[in-house]
Amino acid sequence: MLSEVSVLPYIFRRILQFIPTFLLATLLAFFIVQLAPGDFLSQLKENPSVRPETVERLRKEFGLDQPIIVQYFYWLKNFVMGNLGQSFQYKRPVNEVLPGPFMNSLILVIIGTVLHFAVSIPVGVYSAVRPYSTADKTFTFLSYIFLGIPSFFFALLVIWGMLKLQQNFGWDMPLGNKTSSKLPTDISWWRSAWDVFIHALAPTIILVLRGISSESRFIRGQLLEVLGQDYVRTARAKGVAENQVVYKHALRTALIPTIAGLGGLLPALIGGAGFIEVVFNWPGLTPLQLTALGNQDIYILQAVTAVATLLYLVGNLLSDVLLSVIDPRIRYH
Amino acid sequence: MTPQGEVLLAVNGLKTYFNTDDGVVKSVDGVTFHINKGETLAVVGESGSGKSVTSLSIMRLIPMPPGQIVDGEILFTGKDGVQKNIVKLSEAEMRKIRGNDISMIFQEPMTSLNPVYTVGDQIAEAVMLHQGKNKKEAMGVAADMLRFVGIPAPEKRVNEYPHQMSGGMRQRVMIAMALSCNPALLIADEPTTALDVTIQAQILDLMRKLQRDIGMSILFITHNLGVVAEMADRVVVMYGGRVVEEGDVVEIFKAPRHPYTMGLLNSIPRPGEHVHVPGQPKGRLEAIPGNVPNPLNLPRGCAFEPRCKFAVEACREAVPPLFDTGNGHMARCIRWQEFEQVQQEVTA
Amino acid sequence: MTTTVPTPVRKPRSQSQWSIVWSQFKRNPLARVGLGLLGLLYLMAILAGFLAPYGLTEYSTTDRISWAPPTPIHWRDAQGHFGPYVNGIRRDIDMETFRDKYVEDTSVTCPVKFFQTHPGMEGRTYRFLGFIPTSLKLFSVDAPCKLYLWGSDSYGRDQFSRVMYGSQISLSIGIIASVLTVILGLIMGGIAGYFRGLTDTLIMRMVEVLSAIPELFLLITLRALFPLNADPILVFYIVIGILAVIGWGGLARIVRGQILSSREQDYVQAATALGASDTRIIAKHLLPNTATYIIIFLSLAIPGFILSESGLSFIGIGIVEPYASWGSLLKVAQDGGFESLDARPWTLIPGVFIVLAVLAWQFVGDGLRDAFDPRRRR
Repeated sequence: MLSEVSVLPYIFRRILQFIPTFLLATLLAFFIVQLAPGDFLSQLKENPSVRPETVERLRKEFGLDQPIIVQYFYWLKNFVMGNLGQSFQYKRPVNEVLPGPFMNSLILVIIGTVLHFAVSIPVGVYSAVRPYSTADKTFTFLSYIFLGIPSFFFALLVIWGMLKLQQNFGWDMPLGNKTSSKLPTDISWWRSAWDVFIHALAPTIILVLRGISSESRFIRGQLLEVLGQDYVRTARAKGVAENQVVYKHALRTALIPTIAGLGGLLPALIGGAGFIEVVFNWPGLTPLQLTALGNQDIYILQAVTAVATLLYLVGNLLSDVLLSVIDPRIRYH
Repeated sequence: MTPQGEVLLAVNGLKTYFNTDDGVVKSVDGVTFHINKGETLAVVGESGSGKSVTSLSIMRLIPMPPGQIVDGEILFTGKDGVQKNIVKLSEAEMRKIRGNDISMIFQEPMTSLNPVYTVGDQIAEAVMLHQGKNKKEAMGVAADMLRFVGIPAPEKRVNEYPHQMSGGMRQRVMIAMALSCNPALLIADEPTTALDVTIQAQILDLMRKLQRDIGMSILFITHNLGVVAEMADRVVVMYGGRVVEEGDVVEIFKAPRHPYTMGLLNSIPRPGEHVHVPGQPKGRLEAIPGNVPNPLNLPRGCAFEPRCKFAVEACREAVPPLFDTGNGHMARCIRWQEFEQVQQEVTA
Repeated sequence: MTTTVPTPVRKPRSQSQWSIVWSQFKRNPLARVGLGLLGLLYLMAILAGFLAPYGLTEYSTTDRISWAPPTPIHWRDAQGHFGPYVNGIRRDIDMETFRDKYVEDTSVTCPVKFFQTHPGMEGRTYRFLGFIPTSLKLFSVDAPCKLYLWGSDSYGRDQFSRVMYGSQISLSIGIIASVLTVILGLIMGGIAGYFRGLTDTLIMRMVEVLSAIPELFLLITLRALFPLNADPILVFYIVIGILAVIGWGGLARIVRGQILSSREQDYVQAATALGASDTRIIAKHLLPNTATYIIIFLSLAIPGFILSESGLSFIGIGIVEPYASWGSLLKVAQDGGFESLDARPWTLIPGVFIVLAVLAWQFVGDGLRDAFDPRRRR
């Protein structure tokens, strides 16, 4: 389906366009964080548990006595080189503190993305091909409910349900945290991977339910609209079989906005996972960010925001590239 | 001059109704006509007359709820020489006919082609579907078809997308796609209405030339009598879901026997020449007063009666049958003989 | 698209656009349900003081009853009289968990009284409609009994009353923040759309940058701007402000798009030719066209803000003590941990209210959208 116009220059252009946005976003976050009350250099100096050599090193690396805008460029330079600053709470470089929670959130996000498309596309297609059937009406009803329930409340309900199940039936439920506390520490890697997966399942499902609800209804609407288009009528008039009409002619066009939404999906999942991580005690980015907020640990706050923004931009880039592959009309602009 | 020949398609008493929330809409209510091999039949009428629904019924492209072919038969002799009743065919058998024995082109070329596939792909799809060719051969056929319909540099254009082409070119692509499998019958539903007048002339020329070259029949649906005069061998006039007049194109233009047809012809601004309508001064440009009937609530008698100058009491009582006025000229009006008399007096 | 299914002809009726929209809305059953539910909820918020038997922060320091279960109400007493009453509360020790347990003390009975005022009880006075001080309660009981319809929290405060008062905050924040967002969005979008050029680019860049940061993290970051232990009332306004800052981008984009496309319309050129000033054109010609979008935006933004505020309060950086919103009340359920959920499932009740409010707004919003859409006429 690719014509002679290659996708690479388009990717390059989009990356160039994203750089200023990234800079501005991280600058904004930096400013906001810095505007919070308290002067870090003096706080550091007054803090007895921080060694003077550390204070001096930080002052040099991050220009802590310089005006804010200069500090930003110090931070930027360090960020690009992989130095994310020092955490005041944990007294370790942010580079060491960040990866754990980041990967944990990423687990939820990746499983969530897969689930999101794996469920909403079939449900949406089925509802469009059999509109107003019992199944379709049930899906619509469920969508309303899932869209109306806040994720943290639903998470609480699910945990309560699991508690009841555990009490009444003795089933072993993965209640919160990333791993079971009951497992011995020297088990095989795939057993512990499975354990993590089981624990990730409930939070992930709750995470994506809202997205699946709205996406499947959206796909249904899009597909119904495309199926009413003239070129679909032309395909039928040519003698194309109905399932070919749906999957080859209609679905590709109908899914275009869904693919476009992929860019927003990643950051939405990361942000949305926040509440669920709190309820389930899942050690992800949001609990990290919340404790950083409580302790004014600015470099963690800044790093998490920067990383999340980066992911958003990457997601957008991904969806733009996918879009240009699928919809040839975009490439020519 | 009507080519005398075998009947290719015969529609007998076709009734297509729609079940809507407000009641049953009788879009097509007992329509009978036929098309011979190699001839062009024009179906004329206003919107709401049922002409599009008739053609979609022939293709079995009516959405089956809420639509339904309630009665009638559509007898068609395919390329295999076997006569079938389209109404009774299974969906699989019907798919073999669509795009292959009977092709259809539509009114809006701008939206009738899939924007995410090249025009070559879309033409080749029909070829691969019906003629079993592989992709490479089919694309070759596609390029040939583009050349056939007069698109310059077909080998290059075959890889282009619809949005890279003008409306006129897209309609040519549609024609190429429709003809790619050498159908016996082409149904053209207002193919030039959405195009510029100059392009319109080109497309009509093309269609005439292609018809001569491959000898196919054309069912041409339009509300434009000028196009009818250019293209058609025979004409069927529809009103309120029924055929109200049928006949040779010259006859219909010279001596219409139904008041609706008369009204249509008199609504065309033509210097000098007008059909003589009994009781009317010659040379006046007329509009037909009133509106198309509500398809949910058709009159018990003649559907045109509320707007008809010549209506009498008897017109309201029952739907008039189609009268044979000679020479294959049919008219659904109980006063047709009076019209014939008057016209003969005038020309005499 | 050619008409395959013919549309029947309707008798023409001339109506203003708003009466058409209203009659279409009325015909939508879900929308009616939503509107009714909203009416009930907002009525509850207005009458919160009247409906709540106790004050928002009322608890006894001498006789604290923490984590009491919902008080059972009895209807027929030992003598066979009919009338609601409750028994006293006695503290016992649960023999299995060795924790405090509250049981009914049947030796003490207190009738449930209706329409009582409580003169002298400072904690129970409230200001009806914001300015009429009164302590009239729909129902209450006298000491020493307690009427905890939905249990009490660790301080001994009545949860039912807190949910009632919480409705005032939860339901109003959504509306106030939305109105603020609309104003911001209109101004920014209007400026961007009308003046175009550099202003437009700047504003759209701002929107893009704001939306590049995931919402929760932006919320947390913005909250960090202000001291965490700020005055609770100030926090209320801070939360509203944060929500508005996050939300204006979407509407600004829509308004800008509307203006950009309307600019090219003939009536704008005609107005300019007649000498109308820029502000006049914006105010009288361009803005009314966006009214439909604004109404629909509001009906979708309000439930979103209700959810956002609940979320913020739930994780502790929204509404704080001594005030309550449904989200902060739900925090109580979370803080207790799993054993608290098990022992005190009624702490989940505020969540139900959040769901009801959001669903009601969503039904109304969908109903409005359909009512405005001419393709969906019933």
